[in-house]
Amino acid sequence: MQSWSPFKPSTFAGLTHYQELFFYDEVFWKSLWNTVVFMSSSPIAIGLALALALLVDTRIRGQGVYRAIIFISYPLMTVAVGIIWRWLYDEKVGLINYVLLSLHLTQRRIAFLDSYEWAMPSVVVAAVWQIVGFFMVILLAGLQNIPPNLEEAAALDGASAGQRFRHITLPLLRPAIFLCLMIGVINSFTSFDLIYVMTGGGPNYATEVLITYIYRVAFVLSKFDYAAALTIVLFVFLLIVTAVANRLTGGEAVAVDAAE
Amino acid sequence: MRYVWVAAALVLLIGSCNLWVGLHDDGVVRGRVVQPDGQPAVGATVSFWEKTLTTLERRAATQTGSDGRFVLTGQPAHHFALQAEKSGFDASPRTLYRRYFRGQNLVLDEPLRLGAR
Amino acid sequence: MRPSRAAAVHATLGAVSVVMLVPFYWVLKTSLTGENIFQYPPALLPRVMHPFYYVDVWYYIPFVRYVINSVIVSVIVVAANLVCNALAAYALTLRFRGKRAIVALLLSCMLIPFQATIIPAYLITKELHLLNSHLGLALPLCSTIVCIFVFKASFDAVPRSLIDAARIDGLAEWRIIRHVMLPLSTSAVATTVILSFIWSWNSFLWPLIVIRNPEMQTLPLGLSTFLSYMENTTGALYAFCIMVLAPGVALFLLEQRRFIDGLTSGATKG
Repeated sequence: MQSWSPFKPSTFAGLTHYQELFFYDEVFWKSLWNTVVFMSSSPIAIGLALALALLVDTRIRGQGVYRAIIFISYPLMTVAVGIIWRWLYDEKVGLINYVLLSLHLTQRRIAFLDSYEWAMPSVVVAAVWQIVGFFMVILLAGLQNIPPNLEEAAALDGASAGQRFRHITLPLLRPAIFLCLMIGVINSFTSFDLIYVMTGGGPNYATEVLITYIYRVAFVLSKFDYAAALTIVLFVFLLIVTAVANRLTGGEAVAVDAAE
Repeated sequence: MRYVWVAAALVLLIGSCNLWVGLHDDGVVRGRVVQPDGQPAVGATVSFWEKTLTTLERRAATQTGSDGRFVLTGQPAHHFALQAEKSGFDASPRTLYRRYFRGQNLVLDEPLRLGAR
Repeated sequence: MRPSRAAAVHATLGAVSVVMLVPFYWVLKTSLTGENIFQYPPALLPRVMHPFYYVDVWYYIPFVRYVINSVIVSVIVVAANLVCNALAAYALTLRFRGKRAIVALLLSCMLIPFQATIIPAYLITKELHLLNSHLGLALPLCSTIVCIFVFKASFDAVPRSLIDAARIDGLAEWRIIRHVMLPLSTSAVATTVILSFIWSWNSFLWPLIVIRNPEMQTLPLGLSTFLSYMENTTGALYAFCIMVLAPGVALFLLEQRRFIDGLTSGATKG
């Protein structure tokens, strides 16, 4: 609300920043849209994690090994993960291009991180890779908390595996799924490292999310006042999305956030 | 308990590595220069180029003795190139060498080969 | 379970494991062989060893300096976290007026991600003249609200009779915490240590904002400045990645169970 910068004394500026933000700033809307797209990594990751958790939960040997292998991507330094994925996506020497060409899925090499259509999906894939292990572990813990006699009773009553899944497992997993969704949403709002290292905002703001835009405005352009307005918008948007997700998964009174 | 083992192993590893490095880091490079016909090159000038991530700079030079061998001291760089020159011959190709640690004593297997003019 | 079904499950999980591990294998192979930095088609198996990129990283990049910086900041953060969170959680187990309001305040603080507060945090750090210092790096990370509730849940489980007996014996409050509560809450302590250590070790945005001096950089920041400096013209970048990832992986493998339990309990409690 104030017009401020490290070099001028502050004056009250009312809502002019918000006006500038909403009406004149295209990059803001682009970054908002990109943030929404980036949030789609959460449901994808949760779906994959659920499938993996169901697979790991079956009584096979080596459960712990699989769990460790799938989880290991989460506690790693996101900067290093970003560098590795950036190189995997490289147009000239990247492994992904090589695999795609070998499988004849494409005729020419695709410049993943330099093209408008593929930059955001590439970053989403890397984000999913990093977080799927974490979600899987949470869902696994939730699965293991379901008392087995419920499933056995349902099986005795003649319910098929699909029905058992839909009516017993899924409702009992709701808190865990809600937790994953919350963590995923907050993660995608605050996921600065991956995008900064992989694309730095992307070819012409194609991967610029709200948090990288705030960083750029505040610390590269030194417009703290405008960045503060952007931060408020980020926070309000986060609250709205959290409340919506709250409603969608059946309502939990407390939103829990695990430190990243 | 694991931590004690891991820490002890690490300390042992680091200690022994430092000991080995300390014993072998005089920074001496020994090699020899041969002429195109295989004869040792007497009195050839061998120059030492230090390679950083971005540049290649000439640092020192030495002469070969009567048997074509040379000894270079005082240059600890771990990534360097050597080139031998002698009047009447083309200079040897500037070949890059690597050391495992700064100042490692090296004895080159392949001789520096001068080119025929 | 029928063997054919077990085989199918193993096959699927094996394929998924390969996908999860391919990035590691790739970067490890390239850091040791330097094969796929410039050439195409990429070699899937290593052909010739070239371990000298690690020597490059050791001598050209002040790796030890970066590690020391990261370690100092992490130690400060973990210590501060343990002290602050345990004390706060103990305070929350007592009964006092306005407790509900404080709990609501703390819960709402959990909703605000750290990244939303970078601007005021930067300004405050500047006023305190702590820019470019280890303390300035550690200060905003000094308390993770989740850990307060993890401690609280664990402290609540301590039977009141123990605490009353300790009080009757004349122990001061903080001694009660140190000698009675903490020894009974080792899992909460482990969770706090793990969560705060991981958060401070991997934190990139905050050092990026606060550090101006190339010597004070922490590991993630050092890695990213090296990337912006050299792009991928040298295998030293990938050797640097491996050297940066190695402690994290090693720590994870050593304490796997505690790690996973700590992260999930930190997420599910409260």
